[in-house]
Amino acid sequence: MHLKLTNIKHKLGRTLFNYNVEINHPITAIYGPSGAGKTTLINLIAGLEKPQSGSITFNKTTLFDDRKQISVPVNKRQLGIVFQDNYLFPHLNIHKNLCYSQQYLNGRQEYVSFNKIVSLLEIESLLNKKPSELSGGERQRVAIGRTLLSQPKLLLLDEPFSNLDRQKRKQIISYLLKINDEFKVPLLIISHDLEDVLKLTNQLLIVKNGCIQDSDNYLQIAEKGEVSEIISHKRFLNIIDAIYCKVSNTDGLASCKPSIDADNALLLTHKRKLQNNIINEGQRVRICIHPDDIALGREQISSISIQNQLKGLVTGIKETDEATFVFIDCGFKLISEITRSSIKKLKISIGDTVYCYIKSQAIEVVHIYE
Amino acid sequence: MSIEEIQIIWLTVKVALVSTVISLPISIGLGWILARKNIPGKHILEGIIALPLVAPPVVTGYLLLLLLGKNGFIGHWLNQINIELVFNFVALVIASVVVSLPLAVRTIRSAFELVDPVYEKASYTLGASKMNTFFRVTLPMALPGVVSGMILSFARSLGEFGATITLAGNISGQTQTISLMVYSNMQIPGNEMVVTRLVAVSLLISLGAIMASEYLKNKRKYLIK
Repeated sequence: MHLKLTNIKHKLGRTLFNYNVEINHPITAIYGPSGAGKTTLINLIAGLEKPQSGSITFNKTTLFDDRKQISVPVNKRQLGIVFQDNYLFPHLNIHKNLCYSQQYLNGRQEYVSFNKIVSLLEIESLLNKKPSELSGGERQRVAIGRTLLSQPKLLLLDEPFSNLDRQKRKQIISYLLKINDEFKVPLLIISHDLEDVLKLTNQLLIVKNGCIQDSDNYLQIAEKGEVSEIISHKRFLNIIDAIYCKVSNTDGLASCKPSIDADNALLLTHKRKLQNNIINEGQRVRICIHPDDIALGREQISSISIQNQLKGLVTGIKETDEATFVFIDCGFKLISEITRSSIKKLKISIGDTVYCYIKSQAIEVVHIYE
Repeated sequence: MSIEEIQIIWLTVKVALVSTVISLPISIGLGWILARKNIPGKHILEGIIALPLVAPPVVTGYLLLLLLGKNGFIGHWLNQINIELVFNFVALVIASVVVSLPLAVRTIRSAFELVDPVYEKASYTLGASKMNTFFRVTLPMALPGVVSGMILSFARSLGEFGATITLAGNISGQTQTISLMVYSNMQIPGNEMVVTRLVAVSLLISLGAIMASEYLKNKRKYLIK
């Protein structure tokens, strides 16, 4: 996928928005504080708002260009939006909501079938119900299904986790990863919750004061330190895509490696299932570790219960008002959050070799790739 | 109840029904424009539509007579092709439409305003055109309000007096509706029973209409929720 916004200028009241960005990643998260211009950005992409000038192209198709006087109408852009509050049509039952777009497909290739969506999102039992009878999580699943059945070339999601509890958020994240995995539809997701965002993707687009401040891998953004909100965020996460390698039945542990030939492996408590999906050896999984679950030391410790003691090289240190973040290269990048006094005590500086101590229970599998 | 009374009740209901059917598309169109569009001169349009609601009905009838009478601005043109719009059934319907339209437009407009425009945006992103969105999302969501507006318009037509007597007259067997017959019989001593019967029928129909309108208003709130 290739989405490009060039010199997009848009005025809403007194606020001026200015967007210049290229998005190529299959899942990109738009992250930023409230009122930064995240929703305006996806409204402009979808055609729900018309910019004053600039151009928007998606996969070589010009969606908007003020100079060429091109402005493809919303219903012809083939971009799906899942709105913050679902907006399921209250007068239609779930089946009719899901099939709403069917008559507008005009022979377009259907990569998502009704039956597949219904089974993937586990909404079979809801088909005859009205939206008012559904819970928040169910409504969100139906809204995602309804949008996907319009066969969009890009799925835009505006705060898909708002109004959902932790368990439901986890579930929606898993569904979104499955959708991207199975249908190869690119996702552009707005969220102000960094933890949710990072479980979905490591590619961030930082929006602030109506402008794109940065667009990169989250680690690079954090390491650059230009965007202090990212790194100082309390719910920052280490996200690693790895291979679920070896399961030991005796100690109940499994090992994960970022790649088959990687030296360092992470040991974690073996879970047979993740949300009804069995984890098999050799499968690719996404795991996450909170930075404050990674302790640092100068040497390997034998008389300790912590199983993961990974050797790595310090590549960066960032201090914020609340904590100090140490960037370590262990064959894959990790960020550890420790106190300023620990840094001083251990005399850690860039280029040093350190050991990262991570409890196996602190490593969580958030997604199994198909 | 005499045959004449039954015929008058039927004529009144017929006029109310026909004028409601005619008002329906006009009220939906105007209600939608006022709810959704920012057109120049919107306040003037709002004023013109609401005028029959506040102006004395006789004044409305007089203005209609000036416009549609044999020597009126439009009437004299129509007269040349043998179309008469005064002192007949058509005049009854025109008076009813003009007087009841503001009620219908106001109710339907507020029904459209209650439909969150994001539902329409959701429909566009699912591939629907503006026209399809109107008929598949906006109108069905506003439907209880639209029906409620139509019932109010029907009820208003039933009781219409001032504009009707001015434009259509009070011709027995031709343009005499319940209200006009009540008025006429009030002038005749000994006809109190006729008046009472017609008043009772009129009240029953109106009460039924208002109750149906209130029921639909509550249903609309439920639907929007």
